[in-house]
This record gives sequence, C-alpha cells and structure tokens, in this order.
Amino acid sequence: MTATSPQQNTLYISCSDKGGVGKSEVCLLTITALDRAGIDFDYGEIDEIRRLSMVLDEKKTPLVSLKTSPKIDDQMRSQEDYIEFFNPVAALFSSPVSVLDLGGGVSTKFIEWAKISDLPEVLEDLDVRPCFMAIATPDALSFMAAVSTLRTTNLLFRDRADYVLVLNDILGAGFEIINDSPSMKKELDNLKETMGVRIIQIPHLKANKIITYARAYHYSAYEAWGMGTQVLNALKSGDDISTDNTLNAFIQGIGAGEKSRPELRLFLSQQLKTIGQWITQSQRAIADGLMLSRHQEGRDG
Amino acid sequence: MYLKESEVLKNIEASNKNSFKVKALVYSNFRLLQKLRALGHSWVRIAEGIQPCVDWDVKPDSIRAAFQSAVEYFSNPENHVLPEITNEPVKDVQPVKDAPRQDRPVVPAPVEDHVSVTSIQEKPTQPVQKPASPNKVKLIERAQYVREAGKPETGVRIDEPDDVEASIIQARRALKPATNTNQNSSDSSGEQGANTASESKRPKISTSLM
Repeated sequence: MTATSPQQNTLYISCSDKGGVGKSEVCLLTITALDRAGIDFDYGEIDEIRRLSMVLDEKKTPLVSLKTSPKIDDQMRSQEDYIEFFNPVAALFSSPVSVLDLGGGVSTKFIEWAKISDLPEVLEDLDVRPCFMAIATPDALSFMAAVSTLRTTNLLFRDRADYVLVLNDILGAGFEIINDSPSMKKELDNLKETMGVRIIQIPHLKANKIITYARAYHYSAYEAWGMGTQVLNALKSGDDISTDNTLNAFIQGIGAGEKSRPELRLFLSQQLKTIGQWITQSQRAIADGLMLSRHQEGRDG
Repeated sequence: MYLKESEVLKNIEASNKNSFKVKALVYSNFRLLQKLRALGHSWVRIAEGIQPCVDWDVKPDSIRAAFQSAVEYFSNPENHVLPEITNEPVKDVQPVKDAPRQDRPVVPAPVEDHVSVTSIQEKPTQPVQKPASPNKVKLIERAQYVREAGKPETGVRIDEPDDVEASIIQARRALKPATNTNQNSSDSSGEQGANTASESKRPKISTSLM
C-alpha cells in the first residue's frame, strides 16, 4: 500500500455490492474515528436509504447525498445518465479528507462512471488519492464479492489508489474461517502480495438487550449507543422521560420497562459499556488500518 | 419479432463492460498470452486456462479479438511500455508438437510466470490509450470550482469526541449510590421528538460522536 503524502487529499470509499455486510456501520466508524483523531473531513453518501445523514443528522450534513432508485439498472441506462447522477461526487474532491458511502448495488455503477469519466486521471490531476474499502463478513460469498470489487477497482485505478479489505465479524463466526479455507487464504495472500491490500478486522459485537433491540429495528450499533446514552443522560439529569414515546419504546424494547429509574441507570450503564468498548476497539482498528496518524502528521507539519 | 429497445440497450451495455474487462486482462497479460500462443495452445485451451483464475466467463473469441487488438497496439513503437517485442523467437520456448504452425505468432516475447488479473501492478501502467473523456474536464472544473468558491455549509461541526471509557466509568459511579435512592421523578418534561420506534418510521435520536 502506498502511503498518501500529507499534502494529498484522501477519499475513502466504502464499497462492495453485497448487502448486509455493514458498509454504513463501517463508514460511521470511519467517520467517528476521523473525528476522534481530530481530523477535519467531509462525507458523501449514495444509497437508496441515506443512512449516514440519517444517523449523523444535525451533527454534520453530507457534502453529497444522492438517492438511488430501487431499480438502479433502470436509473442508469446511458453514459449521460451515469454522468448526470454521479458528477456531484466531485464536490468531495476538494476536501482534504472525505468519506463516501456507496450503498448496495452502487459500487458497480460507481466504477462504471469512474471508467467513463477517466476518474483515475481526474483524481491524480486534483491530487486526490482514493482508498477503496471493500467490506465483507467472514463468509465465502461476501468475501468473494469484496475481493471482486477490489480487483475491479484495481483494474481501473492500479497503483493510483489504496485498497483495504474490512472484515466485519457481524455474526461472531470469527476470522479463522478465512485462514482455515485454503482458497480464501490463497486469495487473501494474493491480494496482499499483488495489490498491497491492507486488512482491517472489526470484532464481533456480542448481542445484549440493546443490541438485540437495535438489530430488530435495523439500527446500527452506533445508533443503539446514541439511543442508550440519550436515555441515560435524561435519567442522570432527572428529566421526565415518561412522555417521550421514542425513549419509552426503547426502554420497553430492551425489556427494562418495569425497572425503577436507578435500576434502569445501572442496567443501561452495563449494557452501554459493552457497546462503547466495541466502538472504541473498532475505531482503533480502523484508525490503525487506514493509518489515520499520517493525516495528523500532515496537519502537524 | 419486435425487439424491446431497453433490453437491447441493456445488453449492449453489458457487452461493453465485458469487452473492457477482457481487454484489460489481455493487455495486462500480453506477454504471457504471446508465450502460450508460441507454445501452440489454442484460444479455446487458453480461455479454459484463464477461466479458473478469474471470476467471470472467458470466451475464446473475445480473448482472441482482444489479443489481435493488443498486437496492433503494441506494434506501435510509441506504445512500448512492455519490454521490447522482438522478432527473435524465444529460445527456451518449445512449441507443442501437434500445434498448427500457422497459429504461432511471429513475435514471441519474454515470459510471464503466471496469469492473474491481480498482478496488474507489475504490468504496463497505461496499456490502453484512449481519447480523454469529456466528463474528465467537467469533473475537474467542478472540483476546482468547489475549491475556489468554498464548500457549501455542511452544518454544525461534530463535537469533540468523548472518552467512552471515562464516560462509562462515570456512569457506573453515579449509578451505585443511586440504586437505593428514591426512584420517583417526574420533573421537567423532555423535548425529544415523539416518533414511535418502528421500522417504517425510525425514531429521531441524538447521537454524540465519539
């Protein structure tokens, strides 16, 4: 992997056409890892459900937010369609550090647009180095989908981009499955050797009451953390939460409806500790894998 | 029979995409393919040899057409990003006995050890020269405009990240004595939204970035 020079702009692109591998979750973790490292950044999203801006809400609005149609193939019929739809992404090229979340099925279309637009040359001219982050859960299907995405982007961008494979252990199967499979292990070694692919491992988040509730409603762990802390903060400050339907639904959902306020505080604190630790661990894994310290070095001098 | 325009366009697009992949593969592995042809392997056998190395369908005719295009391309001296293609046969290459002589290329080149689409970083940096895309200019202009004009307002900046561990420890400390205290409190009313947590309408939550 070629390290980005501090002067170069970096565009992190979360990709993989396989759905349900945690692309947005990884994007959120990347964003919060950047924020935690004190790195100024912008972000964009191209998705049917624009989850990043939904979660970040008023904290930070996206520089680019494109909504794809459920029938994306019908949306992109000609080169002009690609150009018209994807060109707003260029706004991100002016940011020193930016993150782009490509939703399910968008990666292939994005690469097609990149090909039409000579994107490798465009980014080189603008001194922007893309870093493709292909997300996979440790199973053969999503692993091969991520590998395919990395190879396709590598065919186009060659050594003008960095490549990262993010293994997100959503199911708790562990990462051994890859080393235990000769073909997957061979593929992984090949990616490292020929493309300089870096590997980031996101640990499994063991389900507790809050996580189970969050998953039932398709919330990310990060959102679950946000909800839990909101209730906890309300309890700590003595606010009345009985009239808040959202918070009450959350409390009922985590099976804590019968608990007294002090009991609820203790319960939430214990539950949130696990999630908080996981977020911290994951942020560190991403910060190390993306070598975020180099941006810091660039800022410092 | 009437053809559906959208269907035909879709197929053309898929075909273009496949053609690009094949070309990229052939141009990147040109020397290896030259060697294989020099050894007398047919395009069918070569395609079968490549097939397990890539994750898409490799057609002999496509490989052959792309190879002919690559031969033309690399025959131009300006495009010689590969080591020189000479007219001298490679001495250590032994042609397959029964291979038809007319199939053997006249310009066998140095040898690649393996075929792989992932080995392209070792390959020529710009094997395919094509006219610059009109969109390239548009994109550069757009990005430069944003640089010069300034980015649009992207909202409130993210707060300084909290220390997760410290925040949790603090919460635990606060909780211990609180477990035995009076639990009744219905003071000031909250200002949070009143959305119901449902899959169709997700509650609006306040997230603090860490």
